Amino acid sequence: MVSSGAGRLGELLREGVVARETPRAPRLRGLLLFVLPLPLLFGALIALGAGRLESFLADASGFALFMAAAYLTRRGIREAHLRDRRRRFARLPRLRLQTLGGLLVALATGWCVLVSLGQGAGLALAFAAVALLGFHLSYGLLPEAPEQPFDLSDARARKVAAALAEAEQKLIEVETAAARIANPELKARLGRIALKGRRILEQIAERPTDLFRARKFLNVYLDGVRQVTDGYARTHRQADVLALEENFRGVLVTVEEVFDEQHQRLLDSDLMDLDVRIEVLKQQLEREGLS
Amino acid sequence: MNDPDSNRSTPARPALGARVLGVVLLFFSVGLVSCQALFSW
Repeated sequence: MVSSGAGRLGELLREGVVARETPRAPRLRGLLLFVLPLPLLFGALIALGAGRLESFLADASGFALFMAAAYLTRRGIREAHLRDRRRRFARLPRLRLQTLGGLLVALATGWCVLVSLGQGAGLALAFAAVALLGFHLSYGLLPEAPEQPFDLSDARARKVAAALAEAEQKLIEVETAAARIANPELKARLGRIALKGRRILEQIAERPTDLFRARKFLNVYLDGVRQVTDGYARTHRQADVLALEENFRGVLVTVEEVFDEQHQRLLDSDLMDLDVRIEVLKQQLEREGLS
Repeated sequence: MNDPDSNRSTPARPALGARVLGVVLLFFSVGLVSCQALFSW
C-alpha cells in the first residue's frame, strides 16, 4: 500500500516541480466583486447626505456584506494559488474561503433585494440564486476533490502523510517569514534551506521507512528553523541589526549543513538497504541452488 | 512539448464560456441590484 502510494507520490512530486516553476499570480481575479457593488456605496452616501437613515443603513449593510464576500473570495483565490505552488502534503482547511465568499455574495444580493429595494422574499431568493450561479461559473464554488498523494487506507501511510504535512507547513512558515526579511543574502539562504527541506520531505515520501531515520530533522531542526526565522523576521527592524544578523547568519549556515547531512544520510541508508536486500537475495538463490 | 498546466493535479479553472456566462450573471444580479438600490428612492 505504502509503496504504491509512494510511486504515485513520486509522479505528483515531479508534476509539482513543473507546477512550482510556472507561478502565475491571480492579480485581477475576483476584483469584479469589489467593483459591481460600488453603486451601493454611492447610494448609501447620497442617502446619508439626504438624511435618510433607513436607506443609508440598508445600502451600507448590503455594501459591507459584498465587500466581505469579495475579500474572502480574493483570499481564497490567493490561497489556492499558493497551494498549487508550494503545497504537496499540507492540507488546506476543509472550509474554503472562496465557498464562503460565494455564499456571502448570494446572501448580500438577497439582502439588498429585500431591504434596499423592498421586494418580496421570492424575488430575493431568485436574485440570490442567479448571483450564486454566476459566482460558481466565474470562480468555482464547490470544493475541489482533495488531493491525496498517499493511499490513506494504510495506518502507516496515514502517519507518514500527517508527518509530511506538518513538516511542510513549517517550511511554508519559514518561506513566509523569509519574505519579510530585507537582507537578500539571508533571504537566499532561507530559500535554499526551504528547498533542501523539501528535498528531504520528497525523499521520505518516496521511501516512507525513512520517516523514522529523519524524525530528529522533522521534530527538532524544522521547528528550530521556523522559530528562529520567525523571531528574526519580527525583530530585525528594531534591534541591533549587525550583531543579530551575524548570529542569524551563523545559525542558517549550520542549518544548511545539517539539512545537507540529513539528505546524504538518507541517501546512504537507501544504498545500505539495497546492499542488504541484494545480499539476502544472493543467499536465497545460493540456498536454492540457483547460483 | 507538454503544457505544464495539463500536469496539474488540481482541476483547471472553469472553461472560458462558462466564466463569461458567470460574469454576465453576476452583472445581471449583483450589478443590477446595486444600481437599482442607487436609483430606488
